[in-house]
Amino acid sequence: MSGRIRGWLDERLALGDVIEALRHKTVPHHRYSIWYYFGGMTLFLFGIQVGTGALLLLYYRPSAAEAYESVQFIVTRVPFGWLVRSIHAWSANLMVASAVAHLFSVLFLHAYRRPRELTWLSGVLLLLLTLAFGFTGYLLPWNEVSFFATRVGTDIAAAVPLIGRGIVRFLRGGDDVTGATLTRLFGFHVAVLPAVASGLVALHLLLVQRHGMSVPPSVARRAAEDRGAIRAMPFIPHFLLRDLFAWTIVLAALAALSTFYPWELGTKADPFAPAPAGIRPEWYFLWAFETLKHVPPAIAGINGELIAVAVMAAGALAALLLPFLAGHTAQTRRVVVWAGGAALAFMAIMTGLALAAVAP
Amino acid sequence: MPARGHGRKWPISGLSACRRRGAARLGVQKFPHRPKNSSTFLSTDCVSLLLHPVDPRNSAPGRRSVVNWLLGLWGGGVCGAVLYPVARYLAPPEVPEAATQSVMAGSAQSLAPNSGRVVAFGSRPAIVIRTAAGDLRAFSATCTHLDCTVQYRPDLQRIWCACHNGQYDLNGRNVAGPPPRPLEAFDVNVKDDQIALSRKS
Amino acid sequence: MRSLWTPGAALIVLALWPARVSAQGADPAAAFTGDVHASAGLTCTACHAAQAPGSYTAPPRPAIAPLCATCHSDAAYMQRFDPQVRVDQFLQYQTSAHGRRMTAGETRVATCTDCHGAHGVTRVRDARSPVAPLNVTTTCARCHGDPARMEPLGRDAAPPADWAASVHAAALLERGDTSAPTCAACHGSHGATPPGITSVANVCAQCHLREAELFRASPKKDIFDAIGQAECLVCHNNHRIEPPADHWVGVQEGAVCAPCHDASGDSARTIGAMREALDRLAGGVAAADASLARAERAGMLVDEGRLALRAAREQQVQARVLVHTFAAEPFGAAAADGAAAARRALDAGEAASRELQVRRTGLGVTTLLIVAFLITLWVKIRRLPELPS
Repeated sequence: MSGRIRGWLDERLALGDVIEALRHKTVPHHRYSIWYYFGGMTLFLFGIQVGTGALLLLYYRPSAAEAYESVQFIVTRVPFGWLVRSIHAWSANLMVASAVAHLFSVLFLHAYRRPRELTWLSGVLLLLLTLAFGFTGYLLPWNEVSFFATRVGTDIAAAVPLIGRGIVRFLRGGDDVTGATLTRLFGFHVAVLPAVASGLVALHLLLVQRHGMSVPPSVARRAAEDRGAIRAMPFIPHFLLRDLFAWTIVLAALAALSTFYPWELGTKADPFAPAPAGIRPEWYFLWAFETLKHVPPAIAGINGELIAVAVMAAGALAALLLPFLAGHTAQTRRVVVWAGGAALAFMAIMTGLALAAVAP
Repeated sequence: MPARGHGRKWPISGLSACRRRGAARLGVQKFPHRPKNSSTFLSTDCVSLLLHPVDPRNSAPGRRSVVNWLLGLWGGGVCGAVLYPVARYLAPPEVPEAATQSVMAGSAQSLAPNSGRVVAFGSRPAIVIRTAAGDLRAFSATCTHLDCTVQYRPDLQRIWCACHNGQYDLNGRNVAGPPPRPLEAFDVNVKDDQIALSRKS
Repeated sequence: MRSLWTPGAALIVLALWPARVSAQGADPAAAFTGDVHASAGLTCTACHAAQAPGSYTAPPRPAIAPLCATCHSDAAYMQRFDPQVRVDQFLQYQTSAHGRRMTAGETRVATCTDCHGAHGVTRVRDARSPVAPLNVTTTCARCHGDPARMEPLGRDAAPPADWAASVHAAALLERGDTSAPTCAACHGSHGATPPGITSVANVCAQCHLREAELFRASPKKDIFDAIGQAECLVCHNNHRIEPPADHWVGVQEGAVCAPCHDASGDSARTIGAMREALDRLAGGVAAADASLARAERAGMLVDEGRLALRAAREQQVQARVLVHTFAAEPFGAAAADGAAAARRALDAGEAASRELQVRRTGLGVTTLLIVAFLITLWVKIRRLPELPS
């Protein structure tokens, strides 16, 4: 019976080639293989976001007058609404962490090298999109913390010369954070960003299938020295079952986090109230926030904040263009490892400083 | 993670090996039909690197199917544990929408002229009044002095606070006693004999 | 003649020194530029008419009030500046304790300039005025809180400090509630007189109308009038009015009923029952608040519980007001309603905590399923076909 259905589908969809190809796909197995799982993990968490996000959309209202109340409604009146909302919030954080881990593992294992430049490019853009998802989604509950965090966050864009004010007005839908900002960021969060992200994810996955998993240079070199082959495990079922294992653990973690540390509702945003003390953005923006706090007001006569933003933008550009700048030789790869390590350490230290500042 | 090769080396992974041998790209070349009853991967070209026969140790059907059956059981349970909340979530709740922008305040007919009724609006009280002339007014019922709940006094035709004798007129303005500010006014509408209060937009 | 003038003038200045210091600032001419009389077009000669410029002195203290009254009691004159202003201040002053003593020759009592100032006079509603609602008690306390001034006049200097420890002071000075009574609200401003024992309740009743009405309808009114006790003051004090507490109701040591009631008789039973009901209600409210707070801290939202607790608190206020009927009903009904509302609030809090438990149980079941799945998956992974060497 199932054979006949399969036959019927195969005649019309002709997926035989794809399925056969997947059956033959293998994944290298070496000491760094564990990092291969982070890409799929990010994809899994993205799927969770899309699912819980769609559920939230059934009850959420994107206007300043009703946003907070609708989230309160979801969390108190809708059966399991508290679970859907908390999973959405926690999964967002886990997804950012997973995407960052994925990026840095690819960086340190040099998987960005030719011919995977486009994969790297689409990946960095996806990370930026993930951060954009986090930023736009953060405002949607329209509570005090998210309102002021959005105001502070969009203010940073004003540091850009010439077009800074324009960028701020584009992000806010006006000069200040208002209901217009909410509607606009909502539109980005549920329509624009998902559309772009879907396209990039499709491209990214296609390229990964085309090129297979990259083997780190050190592993390849050792295998060549030993005159042996690099162990490989079949994608189906070995890698896939291990993937499923990891995904199920994360699912259990999300359920536990949502039950024991539910995402709080906060107090409704009041645009006319003064900003409460200790306003800060979500943890993944904390390093930038803290850096801007430590930057002196002027460096060699130029606005300090502008310089900091410029440096960060330069860093992002360097990250984007990494495959074209380095990776071809062992020397450049060493530079990449040191630069990546320094960047990671810097971001970690800044995040730590920011968290310590709030704790007492 | 289990199965670190068990002391055996696995061949070089997929495509890099294929390219080295100049073989066709994955997915473009049609693969020969697999022999039936084989649980292994078979192919005649470069991908034959991945050929490996069935390990006789694991071929006992009884053992495998028990594991698969258990997997199906627990997997089904996990799926159920995911789908049950989703299904409950999708069904509309008793109160279909948040009652903070507007709330029902009871029957309009049963509110006689020159009388008032206190109802809940969100987590704070509201007062609906039908004046002697017959029109409906509604205000926040939290006294602006010290937060007591006000009531309607038909003899005074005013809203009155029992705590310190504060009084508001029928426009919500504080006219006597300690209250420093007027009462917040709400919009009143009647639909099908039900009074609906909503915050002024 | 001239040689006697200077020491004579000096003597007069010295004699009037206390009055000058208390009413004037450092430089009268400078202070006068901000004076409301200056903006009305008056100059020094309006008050210092009979004196030569450059050697103005203060009028004798008993003459100050009549001097101010020449304008401030003239309705036709004052109407030019403020059509609604009162013109009976001097009449009131003459009925006041200050006025009567001044007429009798005692000059150490207050007159117009002591409270309003002499040269920097501002309107009462101006926040800088010494008689603005937020400042008036400080002004009165300058004399009435100073033992050095009060003792020679045979008066107690405690009232301002007592008032400062009262709920009314807290309302006025901490919360900025200008409806809270100051010295002038109960004693009058121009007609400042301590209210008599039989009339002090009228003063309290201006704001605490319900308690006063209930008290007057109760048996206590006639009893207190008969024994010459001021109504509200017996339990609540006049200046040091502290927040009333439930434990004031009772026949044990420290309760306000104890001076007259002992543990025997019907009244003791009623008092005991009221106290018990109050305690039970307070306990219920506290327990419900704790339960709701616990639920909120754990992330649950308990709006209906908060609403019920609000109702319980209001019933508690009602019950405490109804204590002034000094009878079992309708106090009992209010207390019972409050206890029922507190019960509802407690139930809401408990239900929220139970819901939390249900969630944790659901999580437990799900986690068990997931762990079972993971173990089976692990086994399956280990048993996957291996590759030959």
